[in-house]
Amino acid sequence: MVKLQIAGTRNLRDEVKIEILRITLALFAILLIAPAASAHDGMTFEFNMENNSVQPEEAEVRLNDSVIFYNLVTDSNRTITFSTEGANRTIDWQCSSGPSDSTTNSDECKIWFDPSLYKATIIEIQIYENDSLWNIFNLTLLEDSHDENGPPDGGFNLPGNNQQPTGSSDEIGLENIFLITAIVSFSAAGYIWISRNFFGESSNMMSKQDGEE
Amino acid sequence: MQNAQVISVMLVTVCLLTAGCLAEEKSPFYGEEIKPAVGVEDFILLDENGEPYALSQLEGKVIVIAFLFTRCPDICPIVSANLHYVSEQLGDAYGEDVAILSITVDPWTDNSNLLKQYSDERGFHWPHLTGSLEELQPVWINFDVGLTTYDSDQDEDGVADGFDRCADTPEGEEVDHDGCGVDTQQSEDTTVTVNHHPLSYWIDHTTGTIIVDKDFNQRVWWGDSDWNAEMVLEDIKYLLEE
Repeated sequence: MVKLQIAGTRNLRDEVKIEILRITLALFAILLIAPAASAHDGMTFEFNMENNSVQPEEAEVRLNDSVIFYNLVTDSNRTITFSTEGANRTIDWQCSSGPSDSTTNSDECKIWFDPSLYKATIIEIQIYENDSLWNIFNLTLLEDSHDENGPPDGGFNLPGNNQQPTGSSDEIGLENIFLITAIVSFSAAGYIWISRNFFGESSNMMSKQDGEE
Repeated sequence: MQNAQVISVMLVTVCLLTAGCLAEEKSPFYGEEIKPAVGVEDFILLDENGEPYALSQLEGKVIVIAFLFTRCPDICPIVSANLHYVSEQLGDAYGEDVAILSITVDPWTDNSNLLKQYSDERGFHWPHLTGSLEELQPVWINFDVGLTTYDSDQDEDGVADGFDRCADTPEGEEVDHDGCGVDTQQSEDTTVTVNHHPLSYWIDHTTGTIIVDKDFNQRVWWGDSDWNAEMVLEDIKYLLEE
């Protein structure tokens, strides 16, 4: 009986140990998977090198953003190059992308505008197709100068009063009530006067004529 | 007897008409007169250079204050252009006797750097102010600004519906700065542009421009859709002569 109890306690201890090990491993895995926290993550922009054009044709990106060029044609290589003054030195960048291939990433070129290497400027991107210049476009590189905190969860709401000032002309004020009453009274007075002086006389005349007949 | 009744009615009418005319006090402004005038509470915000900017330094000047945000695609650029026109038309009075201020309604995006870029690109010389939500909220309340943010995004392309000109972008397609797919939603003759702006939330704000008199009282309100630069100039001149 005592032996059974000891065996039961040991089993329980082992299970607790295993559970602690599982939790530790899970936490470790989460730490490995989760990206480092960042106040402002860069964005990735994609450029499609089509048969006759690059889409989009203009771009405004910020330091810390990435750009990927995809070659969408199946019969040509494309080489992307640019030369720009970086933060510390001139940067000459070149990357070749093979014909479109959905099974590999050989048809793409990616660049990250590392804030420690690049500075805000306009970069002229030149694209060569089979060693001859095929396309040129400008990419505007801006300072990473803005926050992306966003409003609080659930949105922010500040109910204004439509900024409609009091005493605006749209309101029916006391003066307007006076005016409306005056117009109604004036119309009523006019109606009474006309009906008594014209219709009253003519009806009297008609009744006189009826009497004479 | 009948004439006496008619005369009585006429007299009452004349009295009422006179009372109506006396009661109606004509506004000296082309814009909506804020009546009674609302006092402006002093504030300190950050200008586009990141420097503190106190309203109190404008004491004795007529101040034109607009509430805008840099990502605003429609009415704000028009108001800003009108303010620019007004500043030019005022000549020497601008700066000496009249000040213009833009205050953001989007402190989550509009920091000083962005406001500087915005004003420099457009050649606007008046202060563009921002601050934390806690700093701006009392200012908005003082000027009766209403605003609501929302992040509804019908086609889930990352561009909030307020900015999104193509509300049915195919799933997964990259979009330009109008929320239109760069592959399937572009017309042939337009230049496709993308830019890095946080377009994930939209701001609805009840907008207006307020003219403050030399004694820090809100006196005139111009709704953004009613803005008439020449008439705003007349209202400013009236307050200058007070």
